[in-house]
Amino acid sequence: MVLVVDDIRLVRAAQAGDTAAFEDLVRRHELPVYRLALRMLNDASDAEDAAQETFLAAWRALASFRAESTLSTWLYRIATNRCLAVLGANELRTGPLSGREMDPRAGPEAAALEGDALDRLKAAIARLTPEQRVPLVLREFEGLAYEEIGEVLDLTPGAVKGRLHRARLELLKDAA
Amino acid sequence: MTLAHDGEPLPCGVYVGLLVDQVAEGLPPVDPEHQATCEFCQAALADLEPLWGQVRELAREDVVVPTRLLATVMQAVRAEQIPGRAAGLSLREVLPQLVSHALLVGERGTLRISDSVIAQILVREALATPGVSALDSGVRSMLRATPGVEVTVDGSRVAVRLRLVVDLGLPIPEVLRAVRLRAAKAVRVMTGLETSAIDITVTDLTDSYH
Repeated sequence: MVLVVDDIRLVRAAQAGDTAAFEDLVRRHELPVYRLALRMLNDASDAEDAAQETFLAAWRALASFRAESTLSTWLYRIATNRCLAVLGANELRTGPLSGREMDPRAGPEAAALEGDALDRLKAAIARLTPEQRVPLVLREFEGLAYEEIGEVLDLTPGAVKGRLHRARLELLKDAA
Repeated sequence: MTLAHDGEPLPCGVYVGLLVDQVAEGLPPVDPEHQATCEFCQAALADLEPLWGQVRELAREDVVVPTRLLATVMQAVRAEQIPGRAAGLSLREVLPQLVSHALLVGERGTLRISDSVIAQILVREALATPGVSALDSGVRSMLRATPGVEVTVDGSRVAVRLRLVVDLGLPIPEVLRAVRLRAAKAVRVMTGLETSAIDITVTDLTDSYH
């Protein structure tokens, strides 16, 4: 028999100071949080930082988590805000080695044709305004419903649909 | 490319935006009879399908979470419980106080790599780069275990300072660029760690050709 402990039970334990329970939560949610950051930032090392900061911020704010939304939506919300902050700060960033050079996938295998098409798509996504990029990533790569995206962004489902629509058109125009 | 602006309909009167959402959401056509026979709709769909196919392909792409992410987060979380280190600090501020080695967590246990090991890798790579004749052996550097190299481990990333002596007559920027590329690659391949910065100071030149 497999005993499934739900997120809420783990959250309650973590709120009481149980770091092992929090560790289980991180393990459960690290893939979607990291993937969101990767698609938003298109840089493996920035994404790793943003995911780490998301979970640390979640730990610090855990006492304020109410079960009104799911933990997953709540984490997406924190992660989205982290990514938007990184995108804002990136314009000021300089360094001897840019994140792109450090991307382990930027090796010879990335030169294959297949990789090129997807790399161009990633770059096109990175050119969308953050306002359009967030709903696109949450919908197409995280598979969230309009209502859930609305919770992450404090928008009505209708407004989400509108932004998503514009994001798709923009992306297709750019990729075409 | 026949993809028109959302505000412009195709010659048949159908808005492209409608077709975009149909393709992206996998919805049935709003007007199946028209679409089945309309050459403009068919042409637009033939353009849209492969483009959107790439988005779906990207959605299927395997994303692998760096294994050290969990360990780094939990290290910081546990550090928060140390009195006086409660709130308002970023990961970057919290971690260096606790770590003097890099930490990698695998399925069968943790791997710690001390910064002196990373320093040795860097020395080897720097000296193997054409144009680098020595690492700085000045008095200050001599006080360190590995002269000319300073390694700062920030959780899972490594920042490096190198002090080099370079051969006279070679373009210094190119030499340094080669050092950086070699060093970052060697650290990555040998330890699995990423280099966040490699700062290099050229402290002297040698005339090794004569």
